[in-house]
Parts: sequence; C-alpha cells; structure tokens
Amino acid sequence: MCMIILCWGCQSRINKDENHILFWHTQTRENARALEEIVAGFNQKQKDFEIVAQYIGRYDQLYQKIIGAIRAGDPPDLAVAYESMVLEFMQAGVVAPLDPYYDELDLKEQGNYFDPFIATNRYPAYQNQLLSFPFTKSVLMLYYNADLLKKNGWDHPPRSWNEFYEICAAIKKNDRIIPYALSVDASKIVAMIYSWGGEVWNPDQQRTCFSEAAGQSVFQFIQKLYEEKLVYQIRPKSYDDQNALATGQAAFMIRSSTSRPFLQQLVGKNFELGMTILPKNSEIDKNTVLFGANICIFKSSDIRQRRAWKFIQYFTSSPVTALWATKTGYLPVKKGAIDEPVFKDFIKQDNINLEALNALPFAKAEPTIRGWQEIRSIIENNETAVITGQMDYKSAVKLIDIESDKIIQKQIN
Amino acid sequence: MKKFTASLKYLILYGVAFFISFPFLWMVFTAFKSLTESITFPPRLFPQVWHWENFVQAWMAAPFFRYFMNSLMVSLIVSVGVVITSLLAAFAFVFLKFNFKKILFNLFISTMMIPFEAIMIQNFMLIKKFGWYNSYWALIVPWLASAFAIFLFRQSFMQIPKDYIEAAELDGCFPLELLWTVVIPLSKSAIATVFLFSFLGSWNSLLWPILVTDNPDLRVIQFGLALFLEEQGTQYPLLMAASTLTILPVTLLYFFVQRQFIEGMTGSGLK
Repeated sequence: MCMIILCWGCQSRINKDENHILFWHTQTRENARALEEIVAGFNQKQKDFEIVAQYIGRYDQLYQKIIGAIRAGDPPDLAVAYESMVLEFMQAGVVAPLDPYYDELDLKEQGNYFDPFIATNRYPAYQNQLLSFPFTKSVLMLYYNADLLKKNGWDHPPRSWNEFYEICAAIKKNDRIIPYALSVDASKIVAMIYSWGGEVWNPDQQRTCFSEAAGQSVFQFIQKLYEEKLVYQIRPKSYDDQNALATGQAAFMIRSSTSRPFLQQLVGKNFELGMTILPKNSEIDKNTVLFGANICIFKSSDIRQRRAWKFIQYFTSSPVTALWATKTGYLPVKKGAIDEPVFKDFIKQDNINLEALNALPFAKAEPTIRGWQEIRSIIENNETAVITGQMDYKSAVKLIDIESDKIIQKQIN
Repeated sequence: MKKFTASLKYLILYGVAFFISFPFLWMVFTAFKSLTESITFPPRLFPQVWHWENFVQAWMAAPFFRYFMNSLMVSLIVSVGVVITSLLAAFAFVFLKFNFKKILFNLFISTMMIPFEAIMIQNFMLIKKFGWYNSYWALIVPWLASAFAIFLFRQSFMQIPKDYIEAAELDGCFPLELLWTVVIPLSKSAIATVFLFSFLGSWNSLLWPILVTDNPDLRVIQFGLALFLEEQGTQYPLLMAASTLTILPVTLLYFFVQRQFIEGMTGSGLK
C-alpha cells in the first residue's frame, strides 16, 4: 500500500506548458554542468518562461526516445540531433524550419556565425532549408605524441600524408610500436578524401564518388599502412586509440577536437600532446570535416517555437558560445566569441586551444543527404575489410559506390 | 597420490574461480585507481596509490541515493509481481483443465521471441495514452508478467510428484489452497530463481526507464552509471566505483538465495 501511495506521489512534476520549454540533450558531467549554468543564466535573465534541460542518455537513446515521442505526438520543444537524425525526424514532418527566425536577424548578425556551421544545417533534401542550428561543433584533428616524433627526428607534425607515412615507418622501425591507432569511422575517410582534394558526393549526378582518384588514393594509402603494419584497428565504438596514444602505445590518432581536454587528462605530464589539422596531399582549401551535433526545434505553437528560438539565440550569442567553448572544448559558433575576454584567456592559457579554431576555415561538412547514415555504415564496413586484409582497395571503393547508389535510389523512389 | 590428486583438483578449482571472478576483481581495484593508471599499459591489477576518494566523487556525481532507492523499489515490486503472476499462470497451465490450454501456453512462450526493441515504441505510446509517462507505474507495470518465468515455473511444477497433488485434492483442497499449501512449498528454489532473474533484469534496465521518464526524481541507478560515459571518453575509476557500490545489493541478494538459485536452475532443466 505504501508503495502504491509512493507511486502516486511521484507523478511528473514537470508540466509541459507554454511556460516550460523542454530541451533534451546528451551532455554529462562537466559539460552538463556548463550547460545547466547557461540555462540557469537564461532563465534568470527573463521571467516569461523557463527552459527545462534534461539529459536523456547517449545519442542512440535520445534518438529512440524522440522517435517514440514523435509517434506519441508529444516531442520536446528542443533536442540535440545530428544531421542524419534531423532527416529522419523530417520524414515525420515534425521539425520546424528555422529560416523565418534566422532571416529576422540583421545581416551583420548573420555574418557573425561561422559559415560552415550554418552551411551544415541546411538540408538539400528539403529545399536547402535551415532545419537545425549549430550546438556542439568541432573539427576532426590529428593527435600525436610530440616527444616520440622529436625522438625520431621530426620537430613538426606531418603536413602531408607522405610525411605521415614516413614518420610512421620511422617510429615502427625505432620504437617497435604500430604507430597509428585507427578507430574505423566514415568521417575520417571523408576527411582524408577532402585532404586528397577529392569529393564524396556529386550533387549534380546524385551519386557518391569514392571510386574516383582521391577515394582510390585514400583507400590505397590505408591498405599500404595495413600491409606494412603501420596501422591497427581498435575495437569499434571504444576509446582504445586514446588509451594507446596516452600510454605511448601509439603515436597518432584522429578524433574530434573535443577529445583534447579528456585526452590531456589521460596523458597528464607523461609527454607533450600535440593536436593539429589533418595532413593534406595537394594545395587545397579543405582538409578536414566538421563534427558535432546540432539543435533542432520541433513544431508546436508559434509562441513555443519562438521561445525555443530565443534560447538558441542566447546560447549562440558571442559571450555564451565563448563560455561554452572554454568549458567544454567545443568550438564557439560565432566569430565574435574570439574577442570575448573569457575566450582570450582560454587561448592565453595554452596556444593549442586555438588549433581547432584555426582548422575551421579548412573544414567542410559531410553531405546532408537522405540515406547518408546507411552509406556511412557501408564506408565503415569496407574500410574494415581493407584494414583487415579481406579486400583490396579497388574493390572496396567500387563496392561503396555500388551499395551507396542502391540506397540513394531507394530514397529517391 | 590421493593427496596430490585432491590438491590438483583444488588448484584447478581455485584457478577457474579466479578466472571467473577476475572481471569483478578488476572492477573493484580499478575503482581505486587514478584515471591515468586505469589505462596503464601493461595493465596492473592493484592500484599504486589507493584513491578512496573515487567512491565519494562517484557517489556525489549524481543523486545516487535517490537513483538507488528508485531502482531498489522498482526491482523489488517487479520481482514480487512477476513471481505472483507467473505462479498463478503456471499453476493454471499445469494443474487446471481448460480449453485451448496448449495453444495459449505456446502463445505465451512465443512472446519470448519478440525482441524488446520491436515493441518498445508501441509500449511507449501505450504508456503515454494511459497517462503513466513520468510515473513509477510506467517503470513497473509493463514488467509485472514474464513468459520466461511462467515457463520456468511450469517446468518446475511438472516435476512435483502427482501423488502429492492427488492426495491434496482428496483432502478437499481448492486450487488456490493447493497452490499455497503444496506447490509453493515445493517450488521455493524456482521462486528464488525467478525472483533473482526478475530483480537482475529490472536492476540492469536502462533504455526503458529513459524512454518513459524524464523527471530526475524517477531516474534509476543505471542512468547514474551512464553519466560516467562521456562523449570524449569514459571515466573508468569513477564508473567502476559507482558500479561497485551499485552491485552490492544484487551481490548480497545472491549470497542469500544462491542455494535456491542453483537448485532452481538445475531443477527446471535450464543451464
């Protein structure tokens, strides 16, 4: 009986009304605390309504919960989502386009946002509408053990993939470790193809182009690294590459720029940790990919949507995005953040904090097309096949294009 | 020679026991390590410096007491509920005569083949329709019946000698009386097994509680553990410290019912 009373007593205390704007996110620990501070600051600043930020679990759990909520006709007001998730939500027609709100900003304010962040939130599959807004953005970076490089005669990180190969070969020979710990990830392949001066998606012909020259070169390079035992694959979805780098078992890994604070904790003062933009093999202007999630508003009443947008504006304002960047390691989404005192102090603490921001002009988003999530799986499966010696690079790139084409055709039909 | 064989036997048994309990030991000792030491290569079992503060930090990282009490309450109610509903259902399937008994039983059992992920969204929508979203009802009610437990009880009941049942019926026992006075006392091991399985299932669940609640007061222990899985990496020492604390009740429960649990497993023909 007591239990039943207790059960009744603990019904939801959060009312979903116009004064409570529900925001589902995935941030934990220090990042969550930073987010809570920002939300509290916003709620204090204005008393008309309250943002209720709730941690919902990891991205897959958040995705399932949102899908369930959409089907039950009760999604949150705001949620963190990757582009592929937004495309899924759009199939149910529940995402509110942000163009009407964004267009209300004056041109100076619009120009204050870093272009690639806005570009990645426009969806060609939906008339290039702005369906989400940058939230936790970062770029893919190369991490390295600077001491190990110096020991092998390199006082700078690799600037080209040829240099990368040479350093790997030297470390393998002298230190008897497999220098590159690779976590198989489609984004890394895409970044490498960009850095080879290639593309992965041809919008005119509506097809992927992995079997073109750049794609072939990337997969051939990976195969060469594998054959010469210069690379090894870590357990999928694990952080073994971070652990290997931190314990001196590897010299290189490629991950998001947000990995740095945690990685630095792991490394401690054992060696000098380096982070730099990916090497490139030709004089090109893009050689990495944009990473990170966005935030989207779900359709509801105009007043709720406006309130949700008001929070996004606050969150992405220069002082707040600067604060968010310094506390989490994500990139600020506005150029104005660089002039904020808090961000200047952050850079002053350690110049390496500027590396990711310096890489931003060279970053490009992955395609925001329907079916991209499935194509990513195909890329990863074929990369695994190459890195484990089950398939040669030529067959792999060909297969990626063939399988991708099937997915794209399915989406078109 | 006899002494040697016995010693060898014990040595092998100790070896196997150590091998099986190694992950558990690893968890406990990692809970005392620093973050850097937790990933050291080559790995070390014992910490160089014992970081007792990890337990305090882990406990303070979230309202673990609240989560702990929620999990304990939900798991206990679910386990008791499953035992009651499954006892009654299995009793009917074994001792009562009614039409379509076999078909019904097969229907029950076939539900075990439907993966949770396939019905998750539909169940979620149902919970919303009932107005149970963000309540303990959502965490408890959907799990109060279990086809597996019914199957396990049925197997156990079928092993009760028919003479006992016939004797009780001759004495004028009503069905529920028969269940209470004869069947349950002879099925204690199976009951302990079902209780433990249900408790474990409920204690370890994460996805369902995340789906049906967003009120921080209703969060469960697994939710607290998930907080240590950061996007950029895992805080292993804190995660292990929190895990050590949270598995304590389950471990204690197992120590209390281990004899019945093992009997239940062997008695029901399961391995």
